[in-house]
Amino acid sequence: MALKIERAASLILEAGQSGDLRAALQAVSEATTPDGAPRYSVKVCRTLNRLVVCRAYAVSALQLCHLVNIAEACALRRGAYEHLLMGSERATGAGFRGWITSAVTSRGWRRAGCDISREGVVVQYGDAVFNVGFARMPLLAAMFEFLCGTVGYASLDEEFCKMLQSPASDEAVRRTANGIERLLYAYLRENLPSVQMQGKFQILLDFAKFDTTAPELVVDDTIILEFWRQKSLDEEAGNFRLFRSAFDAYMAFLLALEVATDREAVGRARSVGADREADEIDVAALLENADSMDAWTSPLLVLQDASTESVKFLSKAEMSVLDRLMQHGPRSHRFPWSLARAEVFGDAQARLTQAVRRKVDEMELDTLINCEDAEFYQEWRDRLAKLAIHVNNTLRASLHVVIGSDELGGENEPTDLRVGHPNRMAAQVDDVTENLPEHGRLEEAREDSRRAFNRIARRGFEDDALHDPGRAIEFEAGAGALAAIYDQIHSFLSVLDRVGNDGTDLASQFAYDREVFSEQFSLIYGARA
Amino acid sequence: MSERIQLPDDYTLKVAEQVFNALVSEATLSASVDHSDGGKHLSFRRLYRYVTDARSEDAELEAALSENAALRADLRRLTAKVSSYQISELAAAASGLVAQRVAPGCRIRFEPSRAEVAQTYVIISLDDLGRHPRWLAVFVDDDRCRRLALPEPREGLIQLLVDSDSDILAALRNPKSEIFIDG
Repeated sequence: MALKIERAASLILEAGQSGDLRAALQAVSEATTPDGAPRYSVKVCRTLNRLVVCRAYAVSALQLCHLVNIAEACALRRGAYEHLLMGSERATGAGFRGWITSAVTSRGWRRAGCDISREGVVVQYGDAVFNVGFARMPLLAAMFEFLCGTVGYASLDEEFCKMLQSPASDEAVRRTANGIERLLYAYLRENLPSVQMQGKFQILLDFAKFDTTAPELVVDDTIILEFWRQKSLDEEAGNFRLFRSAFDAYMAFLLALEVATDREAVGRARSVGADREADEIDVAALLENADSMDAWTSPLLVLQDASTESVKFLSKAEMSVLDRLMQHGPRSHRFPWSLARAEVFGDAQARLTQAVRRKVDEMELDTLINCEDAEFYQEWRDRLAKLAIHVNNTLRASLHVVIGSDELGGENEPTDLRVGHPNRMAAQVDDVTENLPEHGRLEEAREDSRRAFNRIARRGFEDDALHDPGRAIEFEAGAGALAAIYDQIHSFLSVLDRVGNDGTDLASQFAYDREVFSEQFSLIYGARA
Repeated sequence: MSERIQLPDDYTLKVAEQVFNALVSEATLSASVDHSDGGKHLSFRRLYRYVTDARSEDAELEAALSENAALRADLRRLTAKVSSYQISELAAAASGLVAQRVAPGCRIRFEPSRAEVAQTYVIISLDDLGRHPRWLAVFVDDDRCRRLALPEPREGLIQLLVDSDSDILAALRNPKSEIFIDG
């Protein structure tokens, strides 16, 4: 009983705790420039999120203090460091470089010890030297904004004002950084829910020890479904009521094991950990290492980033359809039925949950519990296939801008699209031109991409894009992401078709799954008709 | 199809659990960016823009300011930090509406319009007009703020015509108000 009360209390606390933190992060990610563009890139927001979640903010807090010191040293007035942190329109490394260079050119440094280098600003503190890179400044500005929303501007400014009374002291900077760390630590203690408390990892692990006599973990579609059937009804078991939660949790579980078995990376993360005695691991460093080692990241992030925002490559609805497949990437190919269930019956469960909240009548509830409105797997597959065609067309259209921009850039030789572009883009050229002689192939590719471009009537796909170098860069980045998205859909559909041909077809699997989900929904949400 | 992994040692499982917890927390916080169930936060940048651009309108922020004393205190603090001129409240003995407000390098006079009796000139003279001041903010009781966008100076003076019964004029002439001017 005591355990039950403790568990219930922790869940109630979590629900309230995380709300303020979520809202604070949301405010940063939704911050805009005066013309309505996002102020921070998706990458900056993700990194900030990770620093907070992993409580790995010590280095950033120190860097922020140095940046405040720099900002004050080139500010119009003593103490007014806020202009640099809030003043650059879109938070980019180049924007910060421009702001600082302009300020120093017009009025110089307000005190000695600061110098602009190629990469950032170097600050001298007696014997110590600290460098804050321009590329890091957007994240530090986002962190400042996040801190204002969480620990509060007044508390933060008090710390900075104390530091700025003796700005040439490295010790004062470190003391301030420690003070900010303490403030944030106290805030997160109240507001960052502990996943560990829920024991989710252990629950997933125990279930994956499918055969207790074999020294291995096994995760497959059957295990994920069975896990959900058992745990969705178990209030003690980490909140797996939604099938999507169970599926996403197993994807995270497998990714975590993959990251943790990279012994070299773990060794490095251990050596930089805050407390070696306690065997602490710097999880943020470990995840950062995984990202840099070509671990899969959703290509949709590129299309959602501020750097490609003036071109509407895909609509929000299209991205929403692709989100889970892109999030889990190649790993989801090993779990085709789980992905299908998460998408099709996950949608049905979302509608059901909403209906329960709205307290709909019994008849409507029965319809939803029986999954009568669920999309057939074949329909879902066809929708993905149609989207693949659309992505391919958008990719071809993007190539039109990339080629046109190269040519306007003064290249006399015809551009070979297969050089220097992602595999899919190169393959695209070959698809279109395989039966033509070399010169004719390039011409045909150009013509094909021009036709595709003219057929798309979306933001950014206008003729003036060809004359705008900035837009060409966006199209190049977008084309790379589209190529990866196309490959991902194409590969997944191949897996799905192969599984269908080898045994259970889509219709039979859907019929079986509908029965399973209806039964389970009736257990979770009420009696079945 | 499946993933089969040799059962890792205890240390690897411990690391994996930490990574898993971080991934789940990240996903939870990211997903909830779209569906936050917490109270809405207003970004500090909006406050900064409100202070430094008196022409900008932000009804949501103003509604929040009217209800949130801490946010109003932040607004006052930030305004004080980024302003060039500060005219403090007058000594406790002062009462009634004043004819002028003065601080080092800055003077504000109030003169009734001869052409229109219902209006009053607010005339600001600053020692240094090298940089055109863009805004003025005046704080009265409980950190309530009124803002004015300032026009271009003419012959060293910034001149505005306001209604004689306006809140902004009452605030400027209130000896207990504090005035900040950009520069």
